[in-house]
Amino acid sequence: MSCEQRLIQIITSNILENRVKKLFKKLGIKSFTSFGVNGEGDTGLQSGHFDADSNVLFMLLLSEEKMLELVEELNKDIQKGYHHFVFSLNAQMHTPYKCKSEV
Amino acid sequence: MGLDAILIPAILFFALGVFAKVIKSDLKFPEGLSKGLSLYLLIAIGLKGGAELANAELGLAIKSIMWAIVLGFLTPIIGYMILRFRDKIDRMNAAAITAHYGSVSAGTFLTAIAFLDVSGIEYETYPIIMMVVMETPAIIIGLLLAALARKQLQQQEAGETVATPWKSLLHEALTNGSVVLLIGAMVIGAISSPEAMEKVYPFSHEIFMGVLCLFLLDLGMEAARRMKAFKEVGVTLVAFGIIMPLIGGTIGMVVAASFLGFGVGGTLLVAILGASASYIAVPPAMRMGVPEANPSYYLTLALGVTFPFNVLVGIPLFYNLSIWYIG
Repeated sequence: MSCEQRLIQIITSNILENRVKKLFKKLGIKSFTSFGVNGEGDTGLQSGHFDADSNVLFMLLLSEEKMLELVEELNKDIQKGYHHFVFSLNAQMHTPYKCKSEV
Repeated sequence: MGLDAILIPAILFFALGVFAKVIKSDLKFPEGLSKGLSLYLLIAIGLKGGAELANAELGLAIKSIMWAIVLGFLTPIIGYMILRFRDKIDRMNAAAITAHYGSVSAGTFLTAIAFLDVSGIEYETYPIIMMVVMETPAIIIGLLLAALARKQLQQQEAGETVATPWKSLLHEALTNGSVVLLIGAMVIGAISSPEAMEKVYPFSHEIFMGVLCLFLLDLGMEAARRMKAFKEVGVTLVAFGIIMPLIGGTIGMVVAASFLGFGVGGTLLVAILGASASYIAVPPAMRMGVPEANPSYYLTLALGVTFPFNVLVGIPLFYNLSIWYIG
């Protein structure tokens, strides 16, 4: 059994990690994976040396509807100036129980 | 005192770190080591300072704290006025950048202590408390300046803007890991018996310089990485990163020598507190509280411009100026 979902990835500063988690909570999103990442982009070098220059990457598998809700919330933040880098891909979910309890 | 002033191992290791990155060496520290080193350095300086503060004069300690608060509030306001002169830098970036200059860099302060230790110059320990106190006022000023700028922008253009999360930001600033560790170590150093403190002497004193060398080697590499962003930051801001420490340091020197009556060593330390820019406590607060500002600007300035300037030029310069000023 498999189902279609959207894989959404959010790269943001470590400092904003809790802010993003609060959005997940607000939207009833209970499952996500996160890990520390480094890189370079609009906000300069993110070398991972200090908290302020360390990034976190969130990976979530969501239904199209839920993804749009999340993107809308994230965009409100982005308009305020918070640097979140957000993108999504189509994904095939192969874990059966995840298809049943799709958020 | 000429070039020999900076020929101490700690500063030379900093230069080595910069050099390693310039020649594209693959020299790298294991992940997390630099955080471990900075934890050690804060504990060591806290223990040292606490043990000596136990015998300090209460009146002068309170006076030092009051002046630290004044410096913490005054320096960012001066910095903001400079950055906003002729609208050179927008309000949000000016507020975020200047907050870094009102706060302090423990790394620069420790290098100044190493400089004094190696040179055999005595110094007062009150600047250690001043360093703790100066972490926060600049964050408040930076957030206030940004909130005012936001209000003005809101009047000009309708739209959703950021509500400053004062409570959580102030909580973070006051309970910041380095503040908690430094105050905690100072209290431990102050209340522990001299006999018990002797047991930790090798930890707090003997290995201090060696660990500082490692720490500065790492910061040298990090500073060199940041220097690559000079082009993006622009000449105005790079110039600010050099001019502001000269202004802040001079104010610090006058406060220490004229109002607190410190000797050359203590005066140099307060001058360095005034001259340095935070790269640990303030960036997270600005990232959260002033999201409109570009983090690349303030991190490049604090780490890539002001930190190397203070280590290589500021410390010997303010040492000589302190001797001249005190007479």
